[in-house]
Amino acid sequence: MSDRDQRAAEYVLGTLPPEERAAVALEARTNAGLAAEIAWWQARLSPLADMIEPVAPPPHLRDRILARANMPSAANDKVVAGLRRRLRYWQAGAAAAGIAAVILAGTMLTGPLASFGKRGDTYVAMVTQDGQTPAMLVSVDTKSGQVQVLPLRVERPAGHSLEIWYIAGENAPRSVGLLGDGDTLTSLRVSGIPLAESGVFALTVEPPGGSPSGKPTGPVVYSGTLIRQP
Amino acid sequence: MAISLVTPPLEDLLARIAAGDRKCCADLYDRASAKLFGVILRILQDRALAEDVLQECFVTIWQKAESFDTTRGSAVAWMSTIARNRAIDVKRAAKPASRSVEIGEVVEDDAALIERMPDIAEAQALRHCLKGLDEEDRQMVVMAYVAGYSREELASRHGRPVGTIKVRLHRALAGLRSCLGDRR
Repeated sequence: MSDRDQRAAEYVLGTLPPEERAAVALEARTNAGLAAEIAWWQARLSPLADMIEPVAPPPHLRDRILARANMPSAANDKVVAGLRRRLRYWQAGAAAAGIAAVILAGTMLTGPLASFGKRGDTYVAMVTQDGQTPAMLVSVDTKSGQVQVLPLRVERPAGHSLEIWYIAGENAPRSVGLLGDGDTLTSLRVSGIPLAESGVFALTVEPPGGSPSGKPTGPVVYSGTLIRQP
Repeated sequence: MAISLVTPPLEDLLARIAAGDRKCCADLYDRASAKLFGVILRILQDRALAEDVLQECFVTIWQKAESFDTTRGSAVAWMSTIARNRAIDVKRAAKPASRSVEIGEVVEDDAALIERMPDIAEAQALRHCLKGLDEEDRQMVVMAYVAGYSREELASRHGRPVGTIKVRLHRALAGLRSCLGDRR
């Protein structure tokens, strides 16, 4: 078996160490050969899952879970509460300096990111991979259409660009621009569509230079919902 | 007037959810939740954690329903994969303290598990190929898949160094690979 096949097989089996597991999952988003190996193993081993005895979940769980069915973009709901809390800290100004372990603390109070701390028509989104560790922060001024993007821990697939999209409700995704190489603050602008609460920012993997069609073509690797800055 | 009492296949429910028919989410939940909860609970061995993961999985399934591809397997297999992957991610991220509880808790004869697989072509092929493996190798593969054991947990259960487990898993997977055939 090739090394790639080996990694795909162990990924499906679940025995890769967590870092390797995450690396394979990320690579599979852009490497069709690896994705095909994974799909092959998933299909071949899936009969093993059929013999696991079903267990009825507790009845109360049904309502709780179905309540989520009607929520748009529920992916990062659980981090929203945490984000609101953090923003309150940031707005406390000097208090922000005291937050240990907040990745942003150093850059928050200086430079253009200070606008994250302003009230008004500012909305923010924490962009994550499946609701996990924040990968990017987005702050928008709904009046001017200005979008500020701060990559925190974005993993960039080699040989591809990451394109930022804004999706309002049922509308087609609108390209906001490409994510730059470094982890520095980038200012972009969205025109023609209003930016509003519950809008979604998403990053897709695209060919170098961005999607040729003006529509997302690659998989969504990160996403987050705009919330009003408290 | 003919009244159809046929329940729509899960594949159809996914297609309707993808098309925005949110009413089907409840149907899908009622028909798939016990299956998925079984898969998750078997790996996590912790009901509260498993309930949270089940919720995450359904949200993911509803959101990604449009990416489900009938040519690449059944709806149950697709949903089980989502559930297994998430359960394993959560298990690996959990504190070691909560992990040690389940070691040795579920001891089931892997040979009996294999016999319980349904009699469809895919299962027959897998059963045949698993039986062709060294017995201990087969146990490792089955228990890693079903119970989500890590290399370390397999090492502890089998009383062997982690390095040996890694080698044995590679050997077992290579054996399965050639037995199951390259039919892509």
